[in-house]
Amino acid sequence: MTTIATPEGIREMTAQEQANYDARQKRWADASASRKLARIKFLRKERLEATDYMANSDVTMPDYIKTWRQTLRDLPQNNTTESQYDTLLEQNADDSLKHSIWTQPTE
Amino acid sequence: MSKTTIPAGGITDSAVTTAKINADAVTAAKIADDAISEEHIDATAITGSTELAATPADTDEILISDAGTLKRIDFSHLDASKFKQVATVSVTSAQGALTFASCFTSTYQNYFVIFNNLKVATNGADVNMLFHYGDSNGNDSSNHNYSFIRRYPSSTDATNENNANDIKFLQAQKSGAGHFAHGTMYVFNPLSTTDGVTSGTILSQGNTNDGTGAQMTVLAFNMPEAGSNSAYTGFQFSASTGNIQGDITVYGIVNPS
Repeated sequence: MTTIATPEGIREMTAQEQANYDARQKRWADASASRKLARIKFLRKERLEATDYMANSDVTMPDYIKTWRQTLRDLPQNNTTESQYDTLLEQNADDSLKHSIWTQPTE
Repeated sequence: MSKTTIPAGGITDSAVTTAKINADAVTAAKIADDAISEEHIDATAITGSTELAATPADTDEILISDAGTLKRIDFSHLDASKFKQVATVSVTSAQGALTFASCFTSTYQNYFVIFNNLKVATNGADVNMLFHYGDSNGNDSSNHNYSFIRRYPSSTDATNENNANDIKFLQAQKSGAGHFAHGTMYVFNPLSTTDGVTSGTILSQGNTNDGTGAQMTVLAFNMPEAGSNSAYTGFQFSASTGNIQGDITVYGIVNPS
């Protein structure tokens, strides 16, 4: 039985509290793939927005940036399994993202 | 030899010495009205009394001079604090939830909550809030509507959630040593059963687990009518998966007079 902290102290969960807790764990597990895809889309959005200024009429967007941005846009259609999501979201020891797609190319 | 009779002509003025008066012989009836002035009161009247080592009760009394007239006054009239602590939870080991079944009562209309040192046990878990109804930790609210702006060092995420299972106020938190989340929450009219009256705001900060960095979230929620469960008597913080630890204190905000 899972324990719970209340103003009266720590105690074991009631049956209803445990059922709610278990339902929360299940919801989290069931939404694993969609949560990872949402994370990928958020990271993609961050990077696209960071280079949006290059699309201004007074700036010339380099081809390697155009290619990178298109690759970012294509991420969801080219990565459809949770395993592929995991690869994209893999982290280094310092918590930075390991996959090269997240690093803006320099040329 | 001591005299036992008063001599003819009476006792000479100022001739009765202290030694001639028996201990405790002067009763309250023999002290003239308004005769006890400051020079006759010693500090031991306070220091010699039993200590009240706690915040006085609202009806505890204090002596006060009201424009020259001594009066007693209840402590409640002197207590200017508008935030009254009603409940607290503090744990340094992760639990299934940090929960209050019945911290919201009719005494206060609105509440202020401070949370410190929140830490999820599972790396990447969100921190969620939901309400309880019927004075039970097992009765969880549903259909949560809220809006938030979540700021990371280099980006912003802002959106609305409708009919969500929980109110997610911190996303993908980092677990492990040195990673805590903190913040404040206001809860307005939790006992109201009128659709949309129960609402609140949360301001929080934490650490994202995937290198995105520190996050700050400003969030506003508005509780919908959900069957009979809209008079909320308490709330809980939990991790979206696994357990959570931390300190939460709930204050009732004194109603406007």
